[in-house]
Amino acid sequence: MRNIEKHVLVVDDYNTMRRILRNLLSQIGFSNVEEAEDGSTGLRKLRERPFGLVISDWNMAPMSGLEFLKEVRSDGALKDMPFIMITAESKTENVVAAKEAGVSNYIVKPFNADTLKKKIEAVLGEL
Amino acid sequence: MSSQRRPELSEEEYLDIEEALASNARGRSFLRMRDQRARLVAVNEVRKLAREFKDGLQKAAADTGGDKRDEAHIRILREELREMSAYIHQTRREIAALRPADAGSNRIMAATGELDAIVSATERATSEILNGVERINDLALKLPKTGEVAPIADEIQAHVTEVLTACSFQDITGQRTTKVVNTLRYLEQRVNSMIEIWGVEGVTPAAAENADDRRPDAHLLNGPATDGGPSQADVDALFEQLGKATEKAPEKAPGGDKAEPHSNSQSQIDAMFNAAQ
Repeated sequence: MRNIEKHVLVVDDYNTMRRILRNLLSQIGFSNVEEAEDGSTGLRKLRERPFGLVISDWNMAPMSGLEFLKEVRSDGALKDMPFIMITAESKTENVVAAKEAGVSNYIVKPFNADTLKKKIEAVLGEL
Repeated sequence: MSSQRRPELSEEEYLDIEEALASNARGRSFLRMRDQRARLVAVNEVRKLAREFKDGLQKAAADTGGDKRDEAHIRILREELREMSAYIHQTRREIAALRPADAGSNRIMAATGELDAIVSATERATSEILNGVERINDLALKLPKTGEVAPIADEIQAHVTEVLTACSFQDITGQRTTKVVNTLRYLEQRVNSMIEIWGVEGVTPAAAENADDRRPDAHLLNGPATDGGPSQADVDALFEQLGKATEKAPEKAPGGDKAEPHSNSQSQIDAMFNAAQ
């Protein structure tokens, strides 16, 4: 397993989910993983230091994942940030809204490690 | 009859003729007879009109079924109003039954609490599973990457991955449960609004129709305590205590009819079992 230098920001209001993602990312090779419990915290962290990938839940408060994504895309310094949405919201309208907001990829919960890795590779290139 | 219209007399001509007739006895007789006939015609006209009006009324009454039919309609209307009143009364009783006798017995609140407890319990359990899996993963990483152990380490890590992804169920169930909790809270608000609108103060609540568990021990089946309940140590202590009580008063079973309902520690229950053996 190689060590991937990119910093990953995991944004989810469920601590359990953040831990699961951190572990799975670690198995894939990402050793630099940071966590945030909502969109506003995630946005603050993104502005504090450079990240190479954002993996975010949608259903969060006070700032939802979609609002977070829009904020990222409207920020000149962050607008090209690879952004993967991981959510239980799987309706067509959700996927369309996320795509229109500029999401890089979309993973539906529950997911498996293989799907996570494939989607990350689809965004960042082969790991 | 000629279609030509007769020339109308002027007022002056009419008075001249009348005066000429009235100037002799025969003329005056003529005038009296004319007046009598004119009155008779007028009376006949009025009678005819009254008869026509009466006939019209009778015909209209006949068309609608008459008085008897009106009475039937009123009777049906009264019956409908009585039924509506009964329904309204029943609705008020049903709504009154929705209102808890005290805040502690509010079923919606209780259900919400149970669901919150499910989320907390699954979160705790998932966290503990993750703790264990992370430890296993750390140990697997310490295994040599060569030799016979290497494939075993890989397999352990593969299983760790499966467990990790399986644990994401907690997120899904948590979100679903939150939706149900929100729905219950919405229902509670609506019920409270209905209670306020209908003013059910003093209304006898409707009896619950088999909503309750009818098993003889239903009053003992409350499920897991949402607030954590007594610890195992508490149960042990109480069991032991009850065992001693049984030894002292064997003629009376512990927890009899007059016993206060309370939770037993495991030690207390163990003591009861030991005493019975």
